[in-house]
Amino acid sequence: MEIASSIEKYRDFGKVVSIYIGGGTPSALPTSLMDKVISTCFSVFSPSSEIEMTIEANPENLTFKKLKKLKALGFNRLSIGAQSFNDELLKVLGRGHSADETLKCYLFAREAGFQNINLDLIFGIPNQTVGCWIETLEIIAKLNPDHVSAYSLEVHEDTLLHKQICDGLFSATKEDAQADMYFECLKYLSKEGFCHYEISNFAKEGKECKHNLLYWKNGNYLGFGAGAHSHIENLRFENVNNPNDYIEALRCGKKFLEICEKLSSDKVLSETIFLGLRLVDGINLDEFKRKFDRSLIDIYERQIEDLKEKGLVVCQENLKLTEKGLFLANEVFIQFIPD
Amino acid sequence: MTDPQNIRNFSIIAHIDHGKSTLADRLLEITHTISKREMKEQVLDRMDLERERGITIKAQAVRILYKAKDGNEYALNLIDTPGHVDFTYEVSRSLAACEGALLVVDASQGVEAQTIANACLALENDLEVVPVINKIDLPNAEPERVKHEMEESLGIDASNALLVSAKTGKGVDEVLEGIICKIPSPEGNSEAPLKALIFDSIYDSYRGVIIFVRVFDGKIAPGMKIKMMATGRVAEVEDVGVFRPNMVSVSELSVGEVGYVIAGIKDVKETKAGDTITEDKRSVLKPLAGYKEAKPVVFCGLYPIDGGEYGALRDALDKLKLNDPSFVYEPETSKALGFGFRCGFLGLLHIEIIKERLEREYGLNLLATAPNVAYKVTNVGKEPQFISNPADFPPLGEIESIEEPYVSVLVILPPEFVGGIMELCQSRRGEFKDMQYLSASRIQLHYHLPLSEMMLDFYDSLKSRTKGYGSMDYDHIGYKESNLVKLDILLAGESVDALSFIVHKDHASFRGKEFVERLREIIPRQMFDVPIQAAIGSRIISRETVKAKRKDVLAKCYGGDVTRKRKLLEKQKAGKKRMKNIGKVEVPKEAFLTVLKVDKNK
Repeated sequence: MEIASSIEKYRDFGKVVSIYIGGGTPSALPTSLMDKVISTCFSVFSPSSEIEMTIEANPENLTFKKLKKLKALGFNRLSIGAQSFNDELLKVLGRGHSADETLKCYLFAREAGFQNINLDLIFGIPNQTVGCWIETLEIIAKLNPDHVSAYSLEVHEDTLLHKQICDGLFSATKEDAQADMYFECLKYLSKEGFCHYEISNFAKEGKECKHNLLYWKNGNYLGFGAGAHSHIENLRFENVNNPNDYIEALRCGKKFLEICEKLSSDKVLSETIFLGLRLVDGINLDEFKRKFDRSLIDIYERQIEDLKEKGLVVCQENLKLTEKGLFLANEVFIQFIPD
Repeated sequence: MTDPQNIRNFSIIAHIDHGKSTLADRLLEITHTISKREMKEQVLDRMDLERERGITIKAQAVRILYKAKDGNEYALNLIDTPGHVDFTYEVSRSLAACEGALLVVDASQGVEAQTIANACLALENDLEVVPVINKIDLPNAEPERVKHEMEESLGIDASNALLVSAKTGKGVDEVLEGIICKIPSPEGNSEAPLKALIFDSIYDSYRGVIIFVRVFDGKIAPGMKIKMMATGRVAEVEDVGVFRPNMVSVSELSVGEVGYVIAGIKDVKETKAGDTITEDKRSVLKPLAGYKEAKPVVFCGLYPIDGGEYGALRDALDKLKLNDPSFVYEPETSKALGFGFRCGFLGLLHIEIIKERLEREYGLNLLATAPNVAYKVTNVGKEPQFISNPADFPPLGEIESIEEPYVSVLVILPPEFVGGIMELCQSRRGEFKDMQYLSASRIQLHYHLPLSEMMLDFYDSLKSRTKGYGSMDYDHIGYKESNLVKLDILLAGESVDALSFIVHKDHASFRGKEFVERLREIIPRQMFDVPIQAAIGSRIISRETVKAKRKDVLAKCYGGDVTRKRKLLEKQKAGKKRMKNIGKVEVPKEAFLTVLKVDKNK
């Protein structure tokens, strides 16, 4: 409904290069309804010929039949929330699937014709050793997916895991172990022919996620659904987060936009930089100048010199993180956050 | 004027939490001094800080009109006193304005250290002490035991102690009658030259200095030329009045009365508490017995985290000083911290209060160095000098002797904790003086301790080792020679003057080691290894390293995350700003106070 109602607003939006269905468990949605979502999309927006269409899925609710249907709907990229190939660790994470289910799901997906598959992984899980982590990476090497996202676990407050750690049920992984695992990850995946292109993302040649690249290049995107975010030039907005409230608002024709922030030029600048620096190639200085009409080096001369001296960035055609900088990226990012 | 026969001037003294403020509230309420509508808890404590912490910092006075059972109307002047040992001097000057004091003791807690300390002050001032046992409504109230303890510890007759519940109001009428029957009325000659005691003064930005006085002889009225005997300042009285509890003008204040005087004075330094006011033309010869001036005994450096706030800090200190002559400050420079002030205070609570007021009322972000005492240092062949900043200590070889201030400490506690507390006192270089049973369940311990050792979380240790049942009070007793050395702390190879401290030679190596370990825990990992060392002179006695930070990166950042991630980064950046850069090392504020935490048994 929201998409359909947007038709007037975004008539001039241009060609859509990517559709990404994610957040929550979109694979749980019956394919008939998914069909409706996609067809509504294409009735409003025109796709580019190279469109990337990703759907996120958890292994437990994917059958071969379903995968075939999703493929038929036009999805050409599948992102599977594998997280780990160790059942004990999956339990710690409170996941509802087993390593076996992930393997099965991956193989079904290949059989269903998906030629661009991502596996999401998490490291630094309580009880996980560097050895455990390498075992997971070895399985990745055997499966040979097209793309891997490997995230260092961040334990947020108000989560069950946070409570369990506070109660002493698990002990949080120490910074040093996290660093070791990240290091192993970079080493192992590059040996296996993956290109490290973003802090936590690795891809076979040409399989970088177009959709996410757009985020890191601070491009424009529209989000639909409860809690979805959009970004158009210097505006960021967010839909009502609670699904019931969202549906209610939509039905009654009320406002479903919750937050709309008009970014100051300072903020646009800082976001462009901390998003751009997440990419291993960093920020192209010429592109930056074309976009902002100012030179990145002129604006942040002091910060960049300081960071170069600390060995965190290098700056030639691009401003980018060094390997040390990848491990300590926040130290770099905060230098570009306005006071 | 009120006939002195119908005036009673009194204070309420008590150990903290024994119900002093509640009793005062109740007295004001049942005499309709304050209407029910205006009533709130701790009505006399006007500062927010006082209410939040449940303590009284500034003395206050209020006039209560009471129609007694004998048919006469009396004017009762209640002078409220601070309850914390840091402010003992305020208690003593408030007491000097009274003829009597209500000594309030909790019916279940019994006599505590401050009960004794405050009662002794009252007895020394020849005040009539009226024992009041409060909280008799509590199920575990033991008024008979408490009476026994009062008699044992203070040598007063407590058999007729008033039994009260300030909370429920029970017995409060009897307190009013008790004040009238037991506390003597003021004496004095209203025709004699004016003799009035200043017991406090505050600065009001509209009216100038408001002097709190008690008249002993003569009278004081607008138009009179008065003289402060200690400072010699002469001024013309603009207004006099009483506290009801708001200020109400009256035509004059006469013998025995308590009230305020406004005389166009702009600086509280000219109206020192304890000074005597007399007439300019008709001076009395001898001032009232003043009391010792409150001298700062603990010192610390206050520095703005942002060097640009130095001027604002100076202005704020100037303003606070207007109302609190008991703290002193002078500019100092630290190699590590830049420009700041060395400040002297009455005690640790006093430091906390001033610092909190500076941050809260003046919006400053401050770093306080660990408090220390003033040492009396004699260099070879030189006169002794007082040094209040460890950084200013002369090199080891030049020192002939060092003396440090001692306090006499009184601890009251149940017998089962005596062993633990004696051990604590010994570990703090305490000298045992004596021990006395107040009752089967209360013991009074008496020690002499170096003040510097008492500042090292002694009170917290006492509380935890006695499961909260111990209480303490202390008194300054002068200087004694000690075998002390200066311990220097080096961060990344650089000596940090603001972290150095003075310690007894026998404790140096283990205190140094402990401090260095604590610093390692508190200093966050940086971009490089940070060695932390403790040294005496050029000898390193302990070393730890804060390992370089290895990973600090937000793993995920996608379209829906940007705003939240930006906020996280903003927070991280703000966190850095709260730290002090010493050389290249970012040091959190708390690091400067960790030296105070020594007791591991907590």
